[in-house]
Amino acid sequence: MRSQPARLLFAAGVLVALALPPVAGKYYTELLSQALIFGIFAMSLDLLWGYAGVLNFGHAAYFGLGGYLVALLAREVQGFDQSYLGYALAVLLPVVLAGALGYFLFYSHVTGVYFTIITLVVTMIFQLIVSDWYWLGGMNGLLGVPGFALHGPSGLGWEFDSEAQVYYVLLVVSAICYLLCRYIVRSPFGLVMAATKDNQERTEFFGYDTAYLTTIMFMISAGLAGLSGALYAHFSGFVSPPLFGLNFSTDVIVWVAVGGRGTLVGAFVGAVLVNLLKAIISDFLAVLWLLIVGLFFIVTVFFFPDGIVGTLRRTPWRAPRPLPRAASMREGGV
Amino acid sequence: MSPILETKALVKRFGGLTATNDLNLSIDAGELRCLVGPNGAGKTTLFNLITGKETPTAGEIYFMGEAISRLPVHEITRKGIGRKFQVPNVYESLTVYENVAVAVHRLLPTPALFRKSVAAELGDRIAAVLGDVTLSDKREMPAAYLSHGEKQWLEIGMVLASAPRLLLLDEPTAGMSAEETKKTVRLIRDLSARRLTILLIGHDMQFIRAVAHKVTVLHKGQIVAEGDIGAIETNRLVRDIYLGKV
Repeated sequence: MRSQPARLLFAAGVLVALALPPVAGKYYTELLSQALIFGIFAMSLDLLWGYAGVLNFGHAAYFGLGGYLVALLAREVQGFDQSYLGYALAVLLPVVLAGALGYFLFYSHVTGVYFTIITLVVTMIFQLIVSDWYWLGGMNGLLGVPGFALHGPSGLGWEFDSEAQVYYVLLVVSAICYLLCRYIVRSPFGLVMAATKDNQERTEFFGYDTAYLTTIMFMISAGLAGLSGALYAHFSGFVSPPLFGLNFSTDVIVWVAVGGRGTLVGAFVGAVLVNLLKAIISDFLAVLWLLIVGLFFIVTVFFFPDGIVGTLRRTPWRAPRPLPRAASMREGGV
Repeated sequence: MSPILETKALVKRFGGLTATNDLNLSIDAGELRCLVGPNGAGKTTLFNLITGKETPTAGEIYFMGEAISRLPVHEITRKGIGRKFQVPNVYESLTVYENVAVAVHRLLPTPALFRKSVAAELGDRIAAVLGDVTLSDKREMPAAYLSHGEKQWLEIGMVLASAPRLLLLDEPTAGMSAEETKKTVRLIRDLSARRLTILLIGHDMQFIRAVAHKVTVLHKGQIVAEGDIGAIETNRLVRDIYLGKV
């Protein structure tokens, strides 16, 4: 049950988000658009990390896969509109990959740190492949991905080319993704996932195939990450090997941790805040900015271990329901 | 009457240790059976074997006539074997209501887990279980805040909510006050009266006297005596085992 102030805060947030483009100007509108895409990506990690207790240290693999697929289709397939097919494949392929990985790992009881390490290796393999294979662009990546467009039958359609239009499209997509995730975590499936995170053995002894359910959550998470990768490819117009990189995988963990793990909204708050901070600080501190952003991360996690949204949710205006931090065997570090 | 649970020549070795040694146990449907034995007799190992947490070295376990010893935990549970652990094993971060809801939702096929409306449909069942274990007024409380005895009841309630045919209780009154123990005895008798088959591990003879009709004594992984509680208590061999003479 949301309390009155929380509702007001939420409504204010929506109003600000809607009113931003004219106020923020071109540069910041673009920056925020990108942060929204990263927010969807971070939310996909939060599904797995925050709600199933499984930390994926190579989450960039699914983002990169989605982005590269769209870029490849744009280059190789001509004569028909590839964007819908691109989105579909960008979701489907990560889902299949996650299903295969989940099948081999979760069913062999590879969880916790070991799972985290293997996911790290997976994304590094992808990075090697795309860096070294000329057909996939090598270190230069793939250029010339078309921008956002909606195409109907018989040539009807809209292209979204102004910064504000792109921003609003991404805002709508983000809202849809958020509602979908919220539905999942609040469904009985989400409850069983929370139970598995809390006490896997007990859940198995109630007759749940926890490996199967965790694999499903992993697949949903990967599909959403793939979608955000596809959005990114259309947004930025190109993809390159760092999309599969360790840095990017770490970034998304930072966004979720800063915003608040297990909150969904926190993923967006973290992605927007950290990226905004990066942009502002790197403007006047060309060398030291990364250090400052790093310090900001450490301070946030140290003083607000539940992240920004997680901490706000526990402030006095809400009915107190502090959750004990049950240490779970499934969880990786960080 | 054919037995609901049967073990045939069941053996479990951990390295050089034989925890279960040629065990032949048979439980009839509707029976309330108590397993006793000193520490290390193999009581909990037997529960682990029945529920699939451990795989037997040799022998077989039959549940309603079907061999189950090679099945994974969740499949055995789905056949109708519910287990209450010795140490309360509840979801501390979830509310009391959610704890029971997790157990109840298992009765649904997996796709139905994505329909929010099912949560409301199962509300009555959850409420009934909470009534059975007298936790109705604490339904919104995180389980971490329950007392030890309440956690034990909650777990029993959760296992009941998953509609088992055979209920395995591992020392259900461990750490309970005298008052709580009395209440638990009432609950177990009540369940037994509803024809639920119960296999329970006990330490406390007074408690066993209060609930059980038939007692099986385990020692070094083998059945050394079986009979009603009166006969067992006067059995010389059993007394020697408990006094450490054998």
